[in-house]
Amino acid sequence: MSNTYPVTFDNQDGVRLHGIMHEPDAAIRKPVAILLLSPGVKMRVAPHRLYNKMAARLVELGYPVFRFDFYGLGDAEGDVEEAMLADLYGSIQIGRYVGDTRAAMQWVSEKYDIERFLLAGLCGGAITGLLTAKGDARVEGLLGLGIPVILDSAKMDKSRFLTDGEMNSLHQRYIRKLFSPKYWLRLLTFQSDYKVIWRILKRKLMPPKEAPADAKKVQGEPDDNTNPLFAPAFFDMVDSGRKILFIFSGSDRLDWEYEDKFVRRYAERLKQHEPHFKVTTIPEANHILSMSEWQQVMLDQSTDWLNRHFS
Amino acid sequence: MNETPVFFAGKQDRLFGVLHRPEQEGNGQAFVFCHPFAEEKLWAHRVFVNFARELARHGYAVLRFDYRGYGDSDGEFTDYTLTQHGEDIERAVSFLHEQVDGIRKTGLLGLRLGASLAWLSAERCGINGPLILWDPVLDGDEYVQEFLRSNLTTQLAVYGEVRENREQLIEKLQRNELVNVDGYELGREVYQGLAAMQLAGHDAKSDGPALVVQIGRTGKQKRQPAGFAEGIGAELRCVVEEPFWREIKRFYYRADNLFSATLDWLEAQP
Repeated sequence: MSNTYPVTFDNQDGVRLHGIMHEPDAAIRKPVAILLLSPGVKMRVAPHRLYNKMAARLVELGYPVFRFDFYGLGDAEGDVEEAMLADLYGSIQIGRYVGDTRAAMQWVSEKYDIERFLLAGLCGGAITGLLTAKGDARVEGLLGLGIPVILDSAKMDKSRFLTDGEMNSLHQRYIRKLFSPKYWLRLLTFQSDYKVIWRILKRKLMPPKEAPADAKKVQGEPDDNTNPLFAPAFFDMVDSGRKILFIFSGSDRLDWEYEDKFVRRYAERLKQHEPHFKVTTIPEANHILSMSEWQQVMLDQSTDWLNRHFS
Repeated sequence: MNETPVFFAGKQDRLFGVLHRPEQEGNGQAFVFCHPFAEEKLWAHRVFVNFARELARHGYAVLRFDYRGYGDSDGEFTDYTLTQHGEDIERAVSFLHEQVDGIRKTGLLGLRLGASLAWLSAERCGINGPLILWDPVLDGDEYVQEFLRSNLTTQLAVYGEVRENREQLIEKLQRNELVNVDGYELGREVYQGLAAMQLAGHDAKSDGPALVVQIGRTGKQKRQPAGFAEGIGAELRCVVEEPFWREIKRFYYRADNLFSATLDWLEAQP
């Protein structure tokens, strides 16, 4: 029989955090624990309780599973100073919650005498896992769902950084909307995103020419919104033979961003590490994997990967 | 802070809650918080947490908890009805009384559908303290239609078209098939319970004092909440806040206008 119970522990700054521990039947318990890392502001249950469903599957496989709230979120103590969600996401993408994750590993380690971990999470939880794994050999694997490779910020003009995939998708969507009276109403009442529409039109009417490197830079603005911490953390894991599974959703911009801003840039180097990482995309799925069939595919792929590398 | 996360109400169908004890000497009053529906619960969570802490600083004991099928409580969302959520509120009130000595008055505080459930459950729970209803859902049918619209938005985003319109979704529900809305599998009983829920025009008075808070981007009073508040003998306050129970650009961890309007009203009660 598995057992579920609430846990309270302190992070490195003495801030009290709360979580739920899923303890598998002792007869099948594995010597590796899985931490489910909270995505964005959706606390330890994740959107539509996705982490409860993941925990149920993982504990059946024999893994002790711990999901908990980061400081300032969920039931945890502490405060988050950012007023805008995009800024909070940006701070998570550069490692805001790495310390909390290490504190959770410490708690599990002391409680169960376990020194081997797998980190898993959706979106902000996935990037937190990747950044925590960098330089920490106790983390033997990462299961990242919809991992972001960019940095979010409320001040950033997102239309400047649209990938080809996003442009194509938005172009198709706008074409369809031309027949919708509601769309024209939004357009004529200044509710549409004109910057995005202009960039899509410009791309079609005036295909971009290869510009000299210097001309691409605009003073005072970044010329790329890629997270500079992503690639070093990724290669730190695979260089040391640790395992990564990334699962993306087909309708999610994060899938296109991963291809455009990571895979294309590191194609050669990635080929050398193919045995250590796997990337799959669930067709049509959205970012939060809202449909039960998408969740099932994600759970089955995760189970296969775990059985292959950690059984 | 004195906060305890706990499972309660038996070994099966357990409920999960966090008990906030008064920070200093208690004032003999306690609240059970009733959370909103589906994903609204998660978006609003931090506001609930921080208001519970605010009340604990003012001497109140507070129990925040998850209905069955929500948060960390047992069960699946699709398996429970609104009536059962009402039973959960009753179990939470009993648990609070078991845990905290010297409670003289117990109130309920709810947000959105949680406010509606609080109002509908108050009598059965023997509530003798304040009833605080933050932006209650008054017209359940209108609310569930709006909820279903989110399914249509997902279809548009994923397939580029609406493959099942609202009427077809309702037909599915009536055939006892599930309809997925943002990951929540809505079933027939919950749909029918929501569609039949009409609080507007209710004229039953509350035993204790009651507060209805209308929340909006402007402070302009709306007809429906005003009529409801008058009908149940509650005071109506209109506060300016963004709809923090939905995804908005701001990160809403406090709702200061809402908090001060509620605390001011509480302090004015005999």
